Amino acid sequence: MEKKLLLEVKNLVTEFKTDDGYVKAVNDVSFTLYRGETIGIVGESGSGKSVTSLSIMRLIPNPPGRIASGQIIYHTKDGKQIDLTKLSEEDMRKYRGNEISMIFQEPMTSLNPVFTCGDQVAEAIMLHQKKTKKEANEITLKMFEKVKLPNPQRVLDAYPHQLSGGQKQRVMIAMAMSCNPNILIADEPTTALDVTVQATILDLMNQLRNEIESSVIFITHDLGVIAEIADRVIVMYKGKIVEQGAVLDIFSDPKHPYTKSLLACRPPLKIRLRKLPTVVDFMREENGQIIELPTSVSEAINAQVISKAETDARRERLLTGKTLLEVKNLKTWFPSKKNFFGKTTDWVKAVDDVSFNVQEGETLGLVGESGCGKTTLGRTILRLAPAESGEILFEGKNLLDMNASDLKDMRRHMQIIFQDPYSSLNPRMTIGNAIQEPMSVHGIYENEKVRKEKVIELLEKVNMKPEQYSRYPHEFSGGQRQRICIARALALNPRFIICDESVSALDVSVQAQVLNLLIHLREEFKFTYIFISHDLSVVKFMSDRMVVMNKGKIEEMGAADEIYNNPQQDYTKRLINAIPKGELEHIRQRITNLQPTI
Amino acid sequence: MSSSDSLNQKTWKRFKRNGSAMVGLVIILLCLILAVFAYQIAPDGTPDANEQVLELETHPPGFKTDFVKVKRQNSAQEKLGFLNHFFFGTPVNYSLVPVVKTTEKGDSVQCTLYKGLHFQGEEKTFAKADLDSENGLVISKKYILGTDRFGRDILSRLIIGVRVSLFVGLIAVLISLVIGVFLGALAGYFRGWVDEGIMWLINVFWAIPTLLLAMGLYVGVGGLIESKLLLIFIAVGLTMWVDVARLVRGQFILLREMEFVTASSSLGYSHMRTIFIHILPNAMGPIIVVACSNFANAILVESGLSFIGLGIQPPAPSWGGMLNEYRDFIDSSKAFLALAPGLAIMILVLAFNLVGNGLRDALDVKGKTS
Amino acid sequence: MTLGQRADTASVQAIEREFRLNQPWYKRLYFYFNDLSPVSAHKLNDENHPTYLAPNQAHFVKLFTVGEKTIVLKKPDLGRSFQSRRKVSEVLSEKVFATAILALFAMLIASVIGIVIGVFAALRQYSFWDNFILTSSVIGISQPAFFSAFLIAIIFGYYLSALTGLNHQGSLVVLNDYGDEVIVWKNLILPVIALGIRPVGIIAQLTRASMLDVLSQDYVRTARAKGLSYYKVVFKHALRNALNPVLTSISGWLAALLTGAYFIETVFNYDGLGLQTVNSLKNFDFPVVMGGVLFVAVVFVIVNIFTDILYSLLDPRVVIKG
Repeated sequence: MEKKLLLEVKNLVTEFKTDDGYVKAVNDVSFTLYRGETIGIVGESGSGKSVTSLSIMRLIPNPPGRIASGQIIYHTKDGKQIDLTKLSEEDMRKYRGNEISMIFQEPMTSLNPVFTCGDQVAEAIMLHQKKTKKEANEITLKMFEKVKLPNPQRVLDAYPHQLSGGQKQRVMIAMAMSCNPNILIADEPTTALDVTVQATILDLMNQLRNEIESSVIFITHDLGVIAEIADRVIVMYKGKIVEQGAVLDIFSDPKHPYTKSLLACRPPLKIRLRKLPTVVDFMREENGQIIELPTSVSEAINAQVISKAETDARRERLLTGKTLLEVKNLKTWFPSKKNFFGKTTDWVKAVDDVSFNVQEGETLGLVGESGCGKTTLGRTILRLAPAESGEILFEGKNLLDMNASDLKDMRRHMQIIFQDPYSSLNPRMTIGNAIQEPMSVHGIYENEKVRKEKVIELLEKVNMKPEQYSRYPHEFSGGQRQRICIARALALNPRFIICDESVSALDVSVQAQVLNLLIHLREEFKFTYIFISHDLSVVKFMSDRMVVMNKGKIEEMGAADEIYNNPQQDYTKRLINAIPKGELEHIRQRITNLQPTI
Repeated sequence: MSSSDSLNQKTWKRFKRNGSAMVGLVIILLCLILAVFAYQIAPDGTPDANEQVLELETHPPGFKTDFVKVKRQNSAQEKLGFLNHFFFGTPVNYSLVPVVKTTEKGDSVQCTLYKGLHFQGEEKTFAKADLDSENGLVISKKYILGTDRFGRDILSRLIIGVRVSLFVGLIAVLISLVIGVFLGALAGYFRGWVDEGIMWLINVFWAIPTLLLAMGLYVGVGGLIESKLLLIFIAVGLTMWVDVARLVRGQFILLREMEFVTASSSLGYSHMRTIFIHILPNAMGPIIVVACSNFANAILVESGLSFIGLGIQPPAPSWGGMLNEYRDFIDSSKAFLALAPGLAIMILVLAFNLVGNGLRDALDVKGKTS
Repeated sequence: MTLGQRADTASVQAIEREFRLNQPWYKRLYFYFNDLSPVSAHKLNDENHPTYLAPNQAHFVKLFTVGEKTIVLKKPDLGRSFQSRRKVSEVLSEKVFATAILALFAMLIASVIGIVIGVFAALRQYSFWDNFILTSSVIGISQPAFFSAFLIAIIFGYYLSALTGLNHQGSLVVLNDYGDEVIVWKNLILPVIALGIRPVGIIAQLTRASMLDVLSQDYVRTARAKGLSYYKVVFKHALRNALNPVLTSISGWLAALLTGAYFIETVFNYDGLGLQTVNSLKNFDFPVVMGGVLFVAVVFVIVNIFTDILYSLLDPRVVIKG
């Protein structure tokens, strides 16, 4: 079948005005899109992938942004070529939502809160297909059925806040698909969703594009997701395309070192690694020039593999060792409804009768989807959230019975590292002071001079420089801030650390560096970790044993590899199946399945 | 701290680029200087600028005339210290008599007295011994902004009056900050029943306009509180804290969800340390902005209260009170005399609002939080 | 003061008793609130007691008796004016109409103008008109209400009176030559303008800020991505969302904005609640002042409750907690 051109992006440059003049967010980007094809654009934050898609829609906020140069040529059905960058705003509107439509990342905020979902979808249909309100409503209902919304009639009259995140994203897809667009741009449409919901949305999108025969531009930071959906892949880095090619080629034989590092630094599911390869294994940057290192992806990964015997030996050693933490029948309930007299009549059971223990030196992984209670569990253990009942024994002492001053002493032994690197440091305090403060409050070390020396030592431990002592947090990147938070947690010389989604907000290449740092520190200081994450691959990489949580209860608990390879509970199976694997045979299989329909 | 707060520097940089905000800042600084050196700058340096020359009532701006200074009988003058003179003015022991013409004749001076714009002059002879001859027998004065109905210099009264406005604004802001930050922080940090109680209080006071509270206080407990200035402070303080408390509460609710606040409890910091070292400094930006707008509002409220006669006691000059004096001239050609105090209030209030808006933009505080 | 020059001791005492001037201030305050409360304690057997209720003058229902006092249910009583000796509630109710019309018109016009120019400024952010509107609205909220009233009165009602045909002073309800009450609508024009200036400034600023905030929201981008026209995006999708916070803010500001009516009525000699209260204050007619203050406070509370309900109708996310 002959491939027909649909969209050509030629030498696109999009810039944003800042205090230091114009900065190029997209720098000389060219690619083509054929009819019926799905291309995936992958890149980390700041790579310019979203700006590229908004440029095609001409939705770049202006000011401060503008398309500085380049062409975006759209081929209509009757063979005309139209440069979208030259169209007037009014002409462009005829294409938006009709020929080219878009799905956004945040389903929570992308729908207008004061109109019903039905109205918002019908609006586009009435506009572009010139239908009456009644006809539009019927089409909307059909679309809602097509995107498999439960009870579509109800959704028609529902306001966005009455739907779940996944349902909202289905409404967004229905809206985008309602006018049978030729191009569907999906900008990280599943990033804000749980992994099981993501899997169903990806299924739906694959199915719909076969039905409607739209071309899709799918933008994501996750190579695993790309592998599930794209025919062709474009890799972007700092505003430029560094590599593009068929999905199988990119995954089997990446050419550019950045693509290689993206592939290598994802925690693998099938094997166990000592540490993760990072970008520096593949390339160096000097004066903006990328210098390639002669490592291949498989070489980098194979060098770090831990044998099964080694894993078993470590496990044996840990299990026969001392138990550091015991959690018995822990319950954390939050009041959700109160009666007239202020008495609680209904509860949200965030943590509901949970028991487990943590061995000294062990890393216990805690995995589950949003709202499963994993974060509350972590905070309850540290008494940052109030427990309803149960026991938390740290070296045999019940934390729940402790008074304020005992608890303050106990805080020296147990620390927590949070998720959001942007809110976990006080913006008004230098990082040096932030690390030094816990030492002063707890009176560790003789005087401030010694403490300052210790802070500098800690900064070096987490690969920061001593001269950064008197800098403020806003001067650092997300990865650096997370390392500062680690240093702060280490200031009290704790033995037990809870990592609460500590790498979830980071780009995958930075994530690998921070994970490696955590592993390095575990070896140096013999730390015990509870590692909490929604990402099973990260948890599996980090932990010896793994706990799967769902709706406040423990679904399954056991050795990490054991659970992955041989899950016992239905929920665990669903969770594991939903993970985008990004493995070669998986991609091959998908492509062969697709063949007949093309 | 070894290095300066670069966040503050950034804010100042952005603030400096805002032209109107800088104008506001300069006006406020000038008013501060005026307030401190009021009695040195004002042409009439007597206490409260209360040098009355009844013949000169309501004369237009730029009016100029000569005077002889007639010594007062039984003027037992208290000796006051330098500082007292500096801050509260120098009393004089003579009264000014405006003259059109003077002729010296030996021990006496023959004068043609000025009796007002529409009156014939009158002849009178003074003995030189009865006249104060410091700085010469005859002095000349120009009333740049004209005179009020007691023949006092409007310019001088305006200059002294800036003190009342700034003073009321300052005290009101201090009172509202102390109460508002305290209650708002408690409500936002501890939530629960503390929050509910304080919110109830906030909603009650929210519905009471300052002016009405001042009237209510005056009528209800006016017998207890002698000083009307104190009454203004209580009224303004009791209503304006609400703005601050709502804002601080909102900020605390936002900030306590920040992970660095959770981190401070996991690091074993006390509530006090968390509130004052970790949360409050991060809420300072919006607090300063609301303090600026409260300062402006307090000046407006004071002038309003003075306008309806609930303000500071005469003869002390206050801008609102001065405007009030011209209410009766509304249908006469003398109405323009009200311009000066009215503009003065407006410019000072405007200055605070401009600085507030400039800070809001520079600190990137979202929208108006009240 | 109510008796004029010819006051003899007996009548002074009678007056003092009637207005409880012979009592200490805290007792007067207690009696005042006792009279005000619909459920109150009275001594019904002692004619000379301050809390005595004359059966022929007041309508009340006895509830029960505690000791010497009887708890009764009655209409709230604001007392009598020192000056006219009329009931305060009567004195005030005569003035409510004129003030309500003034406030209503001022807020209505101010809201319309304020929202229109606020939206306009937001859509042309950083332009000349945006700066102009922003600066004028700051000036607008920085001027004292009595000053603008004063200026407007002398310019349009005095110097340009021949041109505008308006008076610098006058009430809405006046007695004509035949002694009938007539409504002079043109006397409303200048006071409404004077009272509206501050609200226009504040509403314009709030609308602008809220509109700018909403225009940067994701759902506005979604609406644009649908291909909707500029006006549909702005006036259907953005404005609905932008007005909700403006509405709550206005209700918060209402108290401060409408106190301007006191000054405006004073300057224009416009016979309403404000003028009555200020004049009573000058004449030390405290019951009238107190009554006026309480009345207005109650009105503000009711308005705030009303806007809460309105808010929940406009925003589907808000549910009134009961």
